[in-house]
Amino acid sequence: MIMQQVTDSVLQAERRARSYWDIDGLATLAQAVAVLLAGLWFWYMNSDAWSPRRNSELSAIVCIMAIILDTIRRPGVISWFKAKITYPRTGYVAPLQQASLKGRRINLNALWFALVVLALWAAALSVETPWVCVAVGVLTGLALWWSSIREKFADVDILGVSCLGMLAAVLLNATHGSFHLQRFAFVLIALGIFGLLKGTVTLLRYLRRNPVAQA
Amino acid sequence: MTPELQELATLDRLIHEPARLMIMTVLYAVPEADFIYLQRECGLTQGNLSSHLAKLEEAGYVMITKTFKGKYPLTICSLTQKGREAFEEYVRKMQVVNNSFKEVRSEK
Repeated sequence: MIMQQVTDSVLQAERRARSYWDIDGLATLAQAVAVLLAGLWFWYMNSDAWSPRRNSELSAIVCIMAIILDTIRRPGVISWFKAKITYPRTGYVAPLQQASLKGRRINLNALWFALVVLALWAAALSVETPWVCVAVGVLTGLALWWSSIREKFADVDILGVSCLGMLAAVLLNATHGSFHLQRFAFVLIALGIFGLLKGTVTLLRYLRRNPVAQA
Repeated sequence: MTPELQELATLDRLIHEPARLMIMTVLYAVPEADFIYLQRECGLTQGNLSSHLAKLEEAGYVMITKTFKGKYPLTICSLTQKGREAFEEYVRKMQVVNNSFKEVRSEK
């Protein structure tokens, strides 16, 4: 019983430290900006204003994914903002990313969830009307939000799902020319805007609840 | 004296104190944390946390480094190897006591 309490306390402290990264909404905002930029890039690339060479689409996607992955791996910009906003208010704790990757088992629910989302995207992109894609983007955002509360998925899954979606979209476009890449942009833009709203609400709530401590 | 009771007698008193046990628990779970984070997690006052950290640092269980993140000054605290081992030993001893407690309870 006593022992269980100590073990639980350690686990709880670890869990709290892990979720601390998302406490201020800054990581969500950064991801939302990345997804939004990717969406705008997709839209521009497939509009009439753009006249790409054959493989430029794929190379552009590779570049975007590389930027996004780099953002996850080395969040220098987020750390800069955290040093200004978060650490003076609620303190600093070293991110537990390495430890969590080591001890983390694959969450099958998350995998199923991502597959369902991708299937939904694929179905929406075969429809002609763009607003359906916007609705799907917002729905994806809502589903991710709900799942992050229920299943304790990290917010990083917004990016994870978007990366998978981009890859699937490009591959489908390469094999079946009828796949509408420009409409895919609407999904990403809607998801990005949704992420921006969510991040802003979280940040404002955090700032209101945690004024800077007076020395 | 039974071996279980002997284990209780050899518990590390420095860690056994509730406030310091909280500090050690939080620091065991993370690579490093700053003063404000520890204060929030443990619910201690500034003076109280300072004095407990000083004792843990004196014992060589905690390492305290003063640094900067941007312009913001940080007092970073982390467990030393000695501190980590001491905490694990403390937990192991409590485990022995816990096991004997379970045995007694099941016999009743």
